[in-house]
Amino acid sequence: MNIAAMVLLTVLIFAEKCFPPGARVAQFAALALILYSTLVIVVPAALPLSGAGM
Amino acid sequence: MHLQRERTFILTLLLVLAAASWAILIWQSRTAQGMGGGLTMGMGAALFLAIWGVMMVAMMFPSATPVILAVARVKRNTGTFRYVFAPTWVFVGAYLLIWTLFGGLSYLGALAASELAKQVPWIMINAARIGGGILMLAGIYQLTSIKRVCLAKCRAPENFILHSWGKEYSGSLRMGLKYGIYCLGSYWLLFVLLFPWE
Repeated sequence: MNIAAMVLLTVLIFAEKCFPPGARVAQFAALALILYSTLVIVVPAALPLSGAGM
Repeated sequence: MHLQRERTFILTLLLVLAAASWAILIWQSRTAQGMGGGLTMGMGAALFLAIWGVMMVAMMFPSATPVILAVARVKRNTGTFRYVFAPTWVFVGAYLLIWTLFGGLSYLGALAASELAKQVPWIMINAARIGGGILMLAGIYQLTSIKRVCLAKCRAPENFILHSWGKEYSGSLRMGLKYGIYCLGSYWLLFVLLFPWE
């Protein structure tokens, strides 16, 4: 478990649910996730994995 | 008790619980570092669910607070309860129940994935790329109509809070379950993302 990832996710959920342009925030998050996932698929080291390798 | 004071009390309690939950998560992540044990971090089902519950309180209470306070107001306005404290917490409990059930499913999923990884070396070698694949799915899910509908209900639950109204505690229970399901529909895949992270 990664505290930084949890904080990031909590902020994202708060922004999507409570800010007026929440639907826009969700689309922006989609773009960020897709870009980051592309990076991870090309350069797997970009995703810090948990101890057991998975 | 006056509604305003009751709502202040509920708000304080929600914030204290969320803060305490963050403290537990930070403490837990420090003690569990480098423990390994696969996706379930070597935890038994009971401990996993307990930590999961704490995580839900920490992560979901901040954004659920406005809705929980709205429930307290509606409960008072419809006038069957002298005190809104108990029915409001039935709502919160039902909301957490949905997330805990999802936690149980996640535990089983994590066990199965860890077991599969032991059998199939390809999974271990490509763990990061598989993580990347889940990130990609989560990104695509953000753009689906299921996410859009669930988020809209989760953002503005006033309609179904008013419509799924029951006079007794069962009304709070039903509302909490509904609210939980819509929020789960919005965010379940994002929580799956937490598993592969160090």
